Amino acid sequence: MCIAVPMRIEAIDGLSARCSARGAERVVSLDLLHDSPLCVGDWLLVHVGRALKPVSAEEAHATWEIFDLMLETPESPDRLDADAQKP
Amino acid sequence: MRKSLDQGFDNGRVTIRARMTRDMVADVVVDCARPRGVASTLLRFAPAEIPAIAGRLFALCGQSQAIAARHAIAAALGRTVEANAMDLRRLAAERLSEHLRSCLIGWSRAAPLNALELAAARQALAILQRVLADQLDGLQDIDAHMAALGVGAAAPADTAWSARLIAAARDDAFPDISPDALSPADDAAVIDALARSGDSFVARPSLPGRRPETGAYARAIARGADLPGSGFSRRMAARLIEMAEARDLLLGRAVASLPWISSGMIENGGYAAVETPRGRLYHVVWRNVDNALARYLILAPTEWNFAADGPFAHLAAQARLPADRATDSLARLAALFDPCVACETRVDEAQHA
Repeated sequence: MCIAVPMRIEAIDGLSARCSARGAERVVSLDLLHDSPLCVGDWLLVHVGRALKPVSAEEAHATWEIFDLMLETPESPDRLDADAQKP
Repeated sequence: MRKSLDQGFDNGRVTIRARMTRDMVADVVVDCARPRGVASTLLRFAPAEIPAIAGRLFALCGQSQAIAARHAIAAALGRTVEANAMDLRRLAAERLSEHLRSCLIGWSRAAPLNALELAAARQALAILQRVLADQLDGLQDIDAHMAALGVGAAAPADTAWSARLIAAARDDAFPDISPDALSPADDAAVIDALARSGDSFVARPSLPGRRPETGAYARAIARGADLPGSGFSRRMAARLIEMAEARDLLLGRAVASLPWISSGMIENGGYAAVETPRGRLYHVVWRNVDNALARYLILAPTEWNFAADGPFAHLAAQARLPADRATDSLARLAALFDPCVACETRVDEAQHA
């Protein structure tokens, strides 16, 4: 599904930014946020290497708390899945 | 889902692998890998919190996800929720925003924008972001920005971006196959299959004797829209027509031509289906004997379109593609289907005896 990940801006170089989250870094395109005033330390919602929109630090941390819950969830917890046919 | 961003926080990927023989593509294999069981995370929250969390988690179509969650949960708990004007405004803003963004990301190389068009597109996206946050200031300016892009004009000039997009989408290597549109008439079969097969159906949805497609083109065909051009141009035209319709809805000039939200009660639960930019999205929720939410499934439109034997794979497999065009043509076809995850296209040499 259409999961976008909050990442923190570490450096800005024109229309791209070096962003980090949970110790990992990615270069993120800012081309859709051309008019947004962005600074190092701001948070962005990132999808497939592109920043969708700025988000507050509070919202970013709240989203990561949900991701943490997802990471704790077994891959296939649906109760009928074990009986379902395999391809 | 993998454990950290460094290990590849994996929100899914469509992989298209074409194999060639004698300089022509012989077959195409499509794999849509997604994290499974994600929806069940929602059950850790109170029902009233889930819509906002679904919207935050699945942020690309966050409004559609939040609205689907709200309607499905209400139905599961025995309540009815009518779609209201605010829901429709948010869905229209999301549809216009996502179609515009997809055109910019997927097609700006094939149909480059000039400086004025790029400024108009960016300003339109900024306005739509505010509308999605229920800030309606500047909404009327959408009209001028869409006009600058040639979207919604009765007869756009050949030089308009919308006309250039349609021209760029042409590709005669693919057959012109009418889509088998996923529609509200399919809801009962889809929900029954979800109830029986759970996450396995989410990962590989199919209906007997069918190859359902969902999204702008399928919706246009389902309602008999008059689409100009041929082949893939018609797919792009369908997207542009939806952008104009969404603009008109936002500006109060039109009403939705098809229901954007369906919902209802099912045995021990409820469902909602929402027409998102990329197609029909299902949220289905069941409650247990204590009347608490106990099972949650979400079926996204990309799963139908990029199923192993789905409409994308079917079209790609019937193409007459020279090897030197294969990667570009398949990537353009994928961009027209507009997956909500990353998409990789690989062309491999077949092994010769």
